[in-house]
Amino acid sequence: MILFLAIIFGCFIGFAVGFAVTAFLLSRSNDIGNSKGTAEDFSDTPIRMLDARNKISKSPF
Amino acid sequence: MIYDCSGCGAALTFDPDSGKMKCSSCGKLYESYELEHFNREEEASALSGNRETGMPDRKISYPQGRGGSVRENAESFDEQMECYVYICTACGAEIYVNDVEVSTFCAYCGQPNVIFDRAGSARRPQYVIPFSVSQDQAVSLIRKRLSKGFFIPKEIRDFEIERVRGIYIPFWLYDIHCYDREYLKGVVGSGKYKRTYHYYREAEGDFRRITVDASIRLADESSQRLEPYDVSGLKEFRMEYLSGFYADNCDAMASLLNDDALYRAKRMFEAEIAKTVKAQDIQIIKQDPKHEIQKTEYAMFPAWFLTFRYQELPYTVLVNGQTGKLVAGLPYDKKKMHACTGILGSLFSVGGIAFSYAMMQSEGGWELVKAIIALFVLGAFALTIGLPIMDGVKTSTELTSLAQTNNYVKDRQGGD
Ligand SMILES: [Zn+2]
Ligand SMILES: [Zn+2]
Repeated sequence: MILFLAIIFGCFIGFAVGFAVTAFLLSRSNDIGNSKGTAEDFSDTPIRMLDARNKISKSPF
Repeated sequence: MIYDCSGCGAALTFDPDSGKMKCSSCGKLYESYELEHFNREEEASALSGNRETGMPDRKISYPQGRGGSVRENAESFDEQMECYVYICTACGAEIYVNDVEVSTFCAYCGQPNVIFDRAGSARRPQYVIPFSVSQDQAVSLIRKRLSKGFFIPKEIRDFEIERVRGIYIPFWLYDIHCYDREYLKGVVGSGKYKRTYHYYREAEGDFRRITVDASIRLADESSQRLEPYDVSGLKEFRMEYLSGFYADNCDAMASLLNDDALYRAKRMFEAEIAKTVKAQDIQIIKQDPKHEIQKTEYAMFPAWFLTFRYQELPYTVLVNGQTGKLVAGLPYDKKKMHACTGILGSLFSVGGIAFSYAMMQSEGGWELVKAIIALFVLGAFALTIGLPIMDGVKTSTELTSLAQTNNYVKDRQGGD
């Protein structure tokens, strides 16, 4: 019984992972230049922090 | 306007390899200043009629997509497009151009014709990035890359060129100052130690020359994938760069695209702020963005469009004419895809079965149920990784076979 379940789930996981890896390889092969300009392409210093507070309890504004 | 060779009289075109003007017949190279010099002379010697002023001979209305087969793009089918008729300076045949084309070739003799400033009303770009990738280079870049794609069908790797066009695409360049203050939340840790924290960020920044495609006929998604263009290669605009290529003037005014540019800046700036928060699943709860356009400039950027057919459908591969970046989503070889999934699936299944069996070796029914749920979640998780990737490939393929892009290229006459 457990062996039977292990085969069912093992194949499910195995093929799902196999599909994910294949999809990744496919995108590397067939999806060429799928990217756009990013912040770095349009600015050397896109951001200057004026104030930064972490783990605060309520909105400051 | 045509730039003529002083030696043999043939037309000069811009040569991407040398970055100079080159005679299409005898191969003589010209520096820019020489050209300016003798064009002024030519103007002084007053050529006849339309050549001089760039005024069209007559204006007619034409259904868009003339000469094409069945229009696949139903949306624009009813649109009437203004057409202008020019007389080819070399052979005297009529050249038809739509209201945005500013550089083309004569359909009869192949003579390059720059018809930029008709009646002086056309808006002149401030900058241009000239082609530095030649047609041969673009084609070989595509062939090389396609031969490396394991899942690309053989018919596509050995594609037969239906059409290649070097086109200058009009772009607006936006300088935008960004300011935002944000109240955010994010998740730190996992499992039992998972916590949600709140953050505050106030920042400003500047983007320079964000590109927004100023051509209505070309899909924004396509033109954005050509990015990045290296703006350090911007040259002051000169009509001679257009000779030997196709070029469109802007048909979307900057004011119409301001929102697109601001939206883009906002999204990029938000992403930059999010990068400074060390947490997962970051969400903005409240924000107060103030983004401001400080300058807009108008430029033309180069791109190659190569069309081939696969199973009757046209596919158009784009190449950034400055950097050589390729943009293409291609159909895949289904047999190879299935074989790969099958082989990898079987291999991973062996491990999967061993893993599942080990997981279920526990005492008591409750532990077993937990193990089963965990295994199911694991499999479903793998699927949620694979499916969006497949979706992305599909979207790119649709973009490459878009009728709109095919027509954008197909409607240009001559040049073969
Ligand atoms: Zn010559
Ligand atoms: Zn002609």
